[in-house]
Amino acid sequence: MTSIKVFIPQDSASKSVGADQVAIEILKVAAAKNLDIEIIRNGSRGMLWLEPLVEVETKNGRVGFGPVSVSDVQSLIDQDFLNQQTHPLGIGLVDEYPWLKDQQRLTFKRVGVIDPLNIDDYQKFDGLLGLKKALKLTPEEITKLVTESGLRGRGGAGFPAGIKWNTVRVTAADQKYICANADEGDSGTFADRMLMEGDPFTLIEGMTIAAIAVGATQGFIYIRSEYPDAIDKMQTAIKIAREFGWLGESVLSSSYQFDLEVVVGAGSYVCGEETAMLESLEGKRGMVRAKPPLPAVNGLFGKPTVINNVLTLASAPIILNKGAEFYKSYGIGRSLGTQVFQIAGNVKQGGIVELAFGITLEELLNKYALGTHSARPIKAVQIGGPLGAYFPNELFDVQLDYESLLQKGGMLGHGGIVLFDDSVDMGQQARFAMEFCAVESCGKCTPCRIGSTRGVEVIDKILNNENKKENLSLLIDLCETMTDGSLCAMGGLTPLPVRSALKHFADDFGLEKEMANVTT
Amino acid sequence: MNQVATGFRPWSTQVAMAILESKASTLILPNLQTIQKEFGFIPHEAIELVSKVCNVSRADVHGVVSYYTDLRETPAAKVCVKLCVAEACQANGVREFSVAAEQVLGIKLDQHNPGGVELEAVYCLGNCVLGPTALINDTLYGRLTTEQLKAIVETKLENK
Ligand SMILES: Cc1cc2nc3c(=O)[nH]c(=O)nc-3n(C[C@H](O)[C@H](O)[C@H](O)COP(=O)(O)O)c2cc1C
Ligand code: SF4
Ligand code: FES
Repeated sequence: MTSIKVFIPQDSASKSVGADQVAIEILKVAAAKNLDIEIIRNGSRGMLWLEPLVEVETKNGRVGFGPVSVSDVQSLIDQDFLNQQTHPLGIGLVDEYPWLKDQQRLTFKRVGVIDPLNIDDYQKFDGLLGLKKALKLTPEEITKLVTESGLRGRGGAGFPAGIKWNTVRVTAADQKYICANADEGDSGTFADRMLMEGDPFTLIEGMTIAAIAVGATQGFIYIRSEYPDAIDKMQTAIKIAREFGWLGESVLSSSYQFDLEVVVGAGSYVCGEETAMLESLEGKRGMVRAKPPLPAVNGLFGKPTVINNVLTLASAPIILNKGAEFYKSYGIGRSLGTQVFQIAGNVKQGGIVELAFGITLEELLNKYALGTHSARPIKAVQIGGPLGAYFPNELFDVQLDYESLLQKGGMLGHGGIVLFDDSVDMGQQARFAMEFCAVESCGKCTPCRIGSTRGVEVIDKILNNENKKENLSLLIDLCETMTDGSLCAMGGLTPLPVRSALKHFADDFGLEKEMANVTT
Repeated sequence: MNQVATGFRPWSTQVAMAILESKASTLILPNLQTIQKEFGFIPHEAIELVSKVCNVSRADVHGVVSYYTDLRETPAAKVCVKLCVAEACQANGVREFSVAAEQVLGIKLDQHNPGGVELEAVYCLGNCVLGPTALINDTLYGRLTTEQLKAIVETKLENK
């Protein structure tokens, strides 16, 4: 008899609520019962409220149980969960589970499905097909295909990836670099982390494709130090890829050479900004550089450099494999392909939802989030991380694509959607936006460095009822100065959460709606 | 004050030099990270050493040390609790949680406490659905309660 496969995620979110302990307990109880099981530590399916989600392979597919705690294991196995699946924690066939079933997982296709470091598994689920295709094309054909696919940067700015790659391709140099931006500093985002932990080979494949396209021989993955598990997984995956003959002197026996290295950050939000990241990769303080020159022309150590977000690079394999037409058949307008939304904060069902651009916030909330964890009404949703706007219920019909969000005074950022219930004090949230900017500012521009500290003070005065009118106009002035006078989006976009909070939640500042409206 | 948290070597200029030489990097940040990994912090003497290895001024090295929150100039804590205080965790009550955590641990947020327990505010650990969440000596915990926090810290204090 072959052993029964049991999947227990090794994703750090899943481990944070006990997946390791559950795995040990399952082994123990199964051994006592003489059950022949094989445990596979997969990534997470992204249904984080169900973690630890234990899956068992059956002839009909994988069935799931979650959230499993150590104390559930005995009853699970007593009820013969390997065969009958009648336990109250059962969710049935995982692929048929409503939350997952209608998602359009292109980038996250393999995450949670495969054994992350098993290269045979990777290939069984279409891994390496994109790279193999790229090896048959010319660099020019690759950049053209990526441009035609409509793929835009998933790190926040939404710049067309193919155009960036092409700039690096046509810039002559003795050395070029590919950098993956895995600094993922935005609150409410975790997709880069989950991809690196759950399917690290996809990032390596995307980076290898980019390298071939632009003529780079060395790549770096800049991972924040807050992600120890992702660092570990990426380093191991790189080693395996080298042994496999994928990375190194000859990429899959071709004439291309490419190697990769993980570089670990040191606790700085601004180092996610691409030029600050370059400084940090060079071992210096993470001070933002003025542009031009563009990193694509004059980047790491002065050489032409592609810097892309993890998800941007991880989208390249499927685009190469399935073609530009396939990819851009998803999405709308100038937002093509799929977006990996991350639903977080005070949410009943939070996690990864990958869908074509164009879904509205309302649909996402009604179909996936299903309200708050605290079971209280939703008061606000922050989209796009700490530099993104707060949305009130009246604006939940906003469509989630680059342009629509911009029109409504927001931005998509890295796709984080954070829910707050009615206990949130939006005055405090606005204050925090300024405080965060003060803590993380690189210090190069005065409006960002000093303005943010003044911002905290002025908001405090408003909240304390001191000269409300004067202080409000001071705050608005300050926001304008920061927007216009900052070199990067740290200082430039901090006013976004502040002003949206003022505009939509004037009550929380003790202001009349009209007063906040007139001045914003 | 001169306690050394277990898992780190006591400072030695010779040992540090040998380690840096074996790594053969001339970039400031990676050298500082190597020092901190081995010794738990960046002692004053290390600044001089790294400035030599990288052929830059001590001010340059110091600039890097002061820029990055991870780099510390006081000896490591025995148990370091990095508590996420960012927005998604605020939505899950971390403002109240951090006050309660200070109380049960008997320490203040962001105060260095070499050889003891430290509670440090960080901004996002990528566990934004399962807050309050903290990285305690590199292990991530989600949906934390103050009782759990206290128990974990006590166990780590005894074990290591
Ligand atoms: C303050 C600040 C922080 C940023 N943090 C990140 C980050 O953590 N990850 C990321 O991919 N991009 C981040 N960005 C955007 C990068 O500067 C850059 O646009 C991106 O890495 C380019 O890759 P993409 O085109 O694939 O998005 C940040 C920008 C700013 C201004
Ligand atoms: S806006 Fe702030 S973070 Fe950006 S360059 Fe200026 S000071 Fe630095
Ligand atoms: S905001 Fe706390 S883990 Fe992301």
